[in-house]
Amino acid sequence: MSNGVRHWWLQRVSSIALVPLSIWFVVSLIALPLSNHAVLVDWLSHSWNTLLLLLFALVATWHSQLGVRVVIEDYVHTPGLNTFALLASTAAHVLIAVAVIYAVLKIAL
Amino acid sequence: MRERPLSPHLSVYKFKYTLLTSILNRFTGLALSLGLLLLVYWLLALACGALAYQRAWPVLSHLLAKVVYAGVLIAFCYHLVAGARHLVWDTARGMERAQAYRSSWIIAAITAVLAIALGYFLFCPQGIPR
Repeated sequence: MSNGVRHWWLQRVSSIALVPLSIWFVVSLIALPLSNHAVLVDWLSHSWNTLLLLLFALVATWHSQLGVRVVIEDYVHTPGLNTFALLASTAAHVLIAVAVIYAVLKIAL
Repeated sequence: MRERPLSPHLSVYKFKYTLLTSILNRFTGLALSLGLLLLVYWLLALACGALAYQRAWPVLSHLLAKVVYAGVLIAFCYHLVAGARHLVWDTARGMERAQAYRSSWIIAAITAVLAIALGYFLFCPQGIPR
C-alpha cells in the first residue's frame, strides 16, 4: 500500500473508531461530578473506563496528527517552514500521547 | 525552475455552501486538536492528586474556560456530523450537486440540535453537584 493510500485509510479507520469512543467520553463527562476528585479517580480506576479513556485519547491524538499533517501539507508550502511545521506537529502529538498515558496510568494503577 | 501551482487551488472556486462546510470541517478539526491540550491538562491535574485538582479547579471551572468548552463542544458536534458525511461521500454516495447542497443544510441542523442538547446537559446539570 502506498504512503498516501495508507494515510487515507488510517484517517478513515480512526474516524470510525472515534464515533463511539467520543460519544462515550462526552456522555461520561455529562454523568460525572467533575469537581469531585475522589469520584473521578474511582471512575477512572475501573478497568473498562481506564481502557476506553486510553483508547479514546490515543486514537483522537492519532487522528489529530493525521489531520494536522494534511493541513500543513496543503497550506504551508515554504520548504523550510513546511518541514519544521510537520516536525513540530509530530513532536507535539507524541508529547500529548505520552502525557495521556502517564496521567491515566498514574490515576488508574 | 518555474514556480508551479500547488493544490488546493482555492482561488479558482466560486463560493458555495459545500466549500464552506468542507473548510469548516478542517477548522473544527484544528480546534479539536487544541482541545486535546485541555484533555491533557485535566488528566494531569487529576493525576497530581486531590490537592492539585482542588487548585486546578478554579481554572477548569472559570467562566472563560466554559466559553472555550462551549466552542470545543460545537466544534466536536460539527466535526462528528460533517465527518460522518465525509464517510458517506467516501462510498461515492450523495455527491450530486443537489444532494451535497441538501446535506450541507442537514448537517448544520443536526449540529445545532446536538450542540444545544449536549450543551444543556453539560452546563445545566439538574441536581448533580459540580
